[in-house]
Amino acid sequence: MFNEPRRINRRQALAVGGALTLGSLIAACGGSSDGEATGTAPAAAPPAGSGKPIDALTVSVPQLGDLLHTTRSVGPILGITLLGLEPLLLYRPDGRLGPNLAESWRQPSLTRYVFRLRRGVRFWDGSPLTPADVVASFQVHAGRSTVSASASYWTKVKRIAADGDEIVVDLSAPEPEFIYTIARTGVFSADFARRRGDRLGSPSALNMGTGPYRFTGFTPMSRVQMERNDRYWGRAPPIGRIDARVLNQDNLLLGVQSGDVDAAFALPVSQLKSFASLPEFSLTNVADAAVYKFNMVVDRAPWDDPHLRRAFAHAVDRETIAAGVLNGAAPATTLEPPETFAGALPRAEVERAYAELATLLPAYDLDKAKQELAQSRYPDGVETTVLVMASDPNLSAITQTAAQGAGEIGIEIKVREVDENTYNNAVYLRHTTDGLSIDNFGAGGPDLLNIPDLTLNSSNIPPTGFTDVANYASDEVDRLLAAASRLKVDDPRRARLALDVLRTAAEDLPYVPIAFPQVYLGLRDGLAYSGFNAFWWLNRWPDQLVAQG
Amino acid sequence: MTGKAIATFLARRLAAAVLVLLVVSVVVFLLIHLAPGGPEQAVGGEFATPQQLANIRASLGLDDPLAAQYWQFLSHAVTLDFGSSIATREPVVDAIRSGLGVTAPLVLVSFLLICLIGTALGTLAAYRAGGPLDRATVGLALVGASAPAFVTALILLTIFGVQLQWLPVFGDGDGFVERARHLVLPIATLTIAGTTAMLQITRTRVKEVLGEDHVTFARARGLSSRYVIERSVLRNAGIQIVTRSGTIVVGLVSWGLLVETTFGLDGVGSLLVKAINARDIPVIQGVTLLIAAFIVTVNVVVDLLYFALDPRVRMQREVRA
Repeated sequence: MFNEPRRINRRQALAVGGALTLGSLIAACGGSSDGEATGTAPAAAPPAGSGKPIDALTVSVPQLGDLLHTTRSVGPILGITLLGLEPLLLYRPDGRLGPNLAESWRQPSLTRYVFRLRRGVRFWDGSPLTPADVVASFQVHAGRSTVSASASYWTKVKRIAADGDEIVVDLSAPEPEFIYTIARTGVFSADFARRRGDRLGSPSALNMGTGPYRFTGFTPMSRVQMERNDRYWGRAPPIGRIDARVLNQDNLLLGVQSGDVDAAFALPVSQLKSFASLPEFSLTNVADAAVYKFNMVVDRAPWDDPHLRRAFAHAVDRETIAAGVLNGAAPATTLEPPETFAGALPRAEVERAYAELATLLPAYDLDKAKQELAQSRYPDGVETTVLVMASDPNLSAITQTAAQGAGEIGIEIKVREVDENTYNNAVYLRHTTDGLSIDNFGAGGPDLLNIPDLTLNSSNIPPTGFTDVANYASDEVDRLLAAASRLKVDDPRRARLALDVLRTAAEDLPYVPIAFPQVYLGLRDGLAYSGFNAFWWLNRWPDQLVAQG
Repeated sequence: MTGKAIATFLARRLAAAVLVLLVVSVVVFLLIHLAPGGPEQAVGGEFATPQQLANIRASLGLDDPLAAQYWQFLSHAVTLDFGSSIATREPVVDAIRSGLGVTAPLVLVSFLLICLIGTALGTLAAYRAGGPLDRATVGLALVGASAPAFVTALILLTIFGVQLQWLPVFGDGDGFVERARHLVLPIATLTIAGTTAMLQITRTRVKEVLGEDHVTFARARGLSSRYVIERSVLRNAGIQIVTRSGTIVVGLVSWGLLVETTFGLDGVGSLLVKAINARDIPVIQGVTLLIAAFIVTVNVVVDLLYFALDPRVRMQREVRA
């Protein structure tokens, strides 16, 4: 299975107002249009209102890759990469998939996807796009020898082949959400890649795609410069030049104040109030597809004791943390925001299910916490160290707050700040924490089973995976997930199975969900953005941006 | 001074320099291998599978003995071939060259300004020692030096970038003119931070020299002030000023790292920080050796300037030679 805990925490919420609208909720969730597509028009939805072209745009993004290549593009990095190296299918702001380089696609069986390539598309150097380019672009992620950061999305891919104008992908087992992998996989020129060899994607070689914006400059992890592709096959790109930068918080604030920054995705948490106070800058926020959670390794002492886990869960004041530390975020009662289910199930049904999930998660109650601890093997409490990293100050703040409640019942928590590599190694890769850890787990794609599968499927325990950081293995959950994998991605039964998975996990309590954060977009006056959603980086976002007036 | 004396001196200094560089490279090499994560994670990403990590280790020769890996590095490094960045695939030399396009003008122009302004104001203050000009100059310089560089940077950015909007607030600019515009504030920050040290040593030494007999005698002979300053005062104060210059230019390299971060410049400092975060061994080694080589070179230059400025040093060397 795949995994992508995005380190997006630094841009989470100190609220500056802006309640979620129904529209944004729907946009943020993962409806899909799996199966046959009939449309052949360019997929991008036209922005609302009347706009005028934008000559140049400087945009702040949370992350850029060390290579300008699809193998090093995950999460928000795709927000830039996919503008040049465009995918076969486009994830639209309304949560649906639309045709792009593939003019249509079909799924003849649960394990076979067939994409018909659009004709007449050319790379920036004038060479034609062929099925062989697509096959090469897919193959860099598949196979045992791949070094792609997206490799885990491709582990079930058995065969990739061209058949005339079609590209056929066969899986070894059903994986309904694989269609989203197609929407997040850019296509590059195989010939260009061959000629550049190992230097493909480096500042001197750049990359070659068919997208609406061609790359003109690249500084690893800092900056990507792009220009409009005037010969783009689809709708004329609305922005002349895009200068995408990763800025530190001070530079970003100063850049917005001086007018050097026009738009900023995923604004940093610590300065949201400063951004909100700027007179010519407006903020938009939506629920991010992510959850802050405590993880308890359930297959070794001391957290294998369910009473200890329940004691700790009772000692965590989620309401206070959501309001105080993540001001404006919604307290979490499970691993997945309810917005994820919008469109997949009737709203009333989702609300009923979430009300039940709320009763299953131990509520903040120190008396009950003490009772649970007394029943555990550790009536005198335990001592543990929780790792945090500086890039997400919320991790430390949440843990410190939780430690106060836990300390009152005898669970002594020390907070230790480490660098990102150490944190990722201990928490994700090797599961070598003391047993209790905290993270902000972001969905790698819009599918409603993305987070439950990554965090609860026993196949994601090392050595076969690592995102099940609690080492939680449940036959019941595995059975439910396997059943869901045999259903189409938009089948309501699949959504109900997802709710069953969450129920089962709530009873076993490998995780203590804390809060669902928000993601913020900032725009200077004169710009408007339609359909901002948690997966903005999968959308062709320049098409959603318009200059007004 | 004989050529032999200079040659002997230079040979000793260069041998010491090579030894220092070797020690630096060994230490850095070993430290990186002890760090958590390892270079294979830089290539495979944080979430690479164990199989991927194993493949990467094999392809990069990371499973070879450390000594073999080090020898491989060293034999290439002597030809300035540090290999390619593990993360960005870019040849390390290219990445350093690109970074030097920002860092070299930043450090060198700042250094020149510090020397110029520091010695001029220091001399002026010494001549007017105790007077209002002296107090004002020293006071202002102290304020500049006391403020942390990032605070100075933020004040300059707020005034000239945000309020007046004369200069850009981040980035290093494309082309000569834009690059120069982008470097004005970073250079100003470094200059403000570094001038006090130069001013103080100049003021102190010039004031001391001004009180010495040979200056009094030169003045009594009616020699012009300019002649006295150039030939008697500054030349005599020169040894200490040159020594301080060496420490300032070395300090500018580390201050420059902070300033590059504050101003969002993609210089050598930023390159090093990114490489350390990514465990990008070739880049770390290349940049570290570059910095070490620079510091060693500065020290050799300072020693050579002693030769030029102080006849006593020359005499000593000649006697030894």
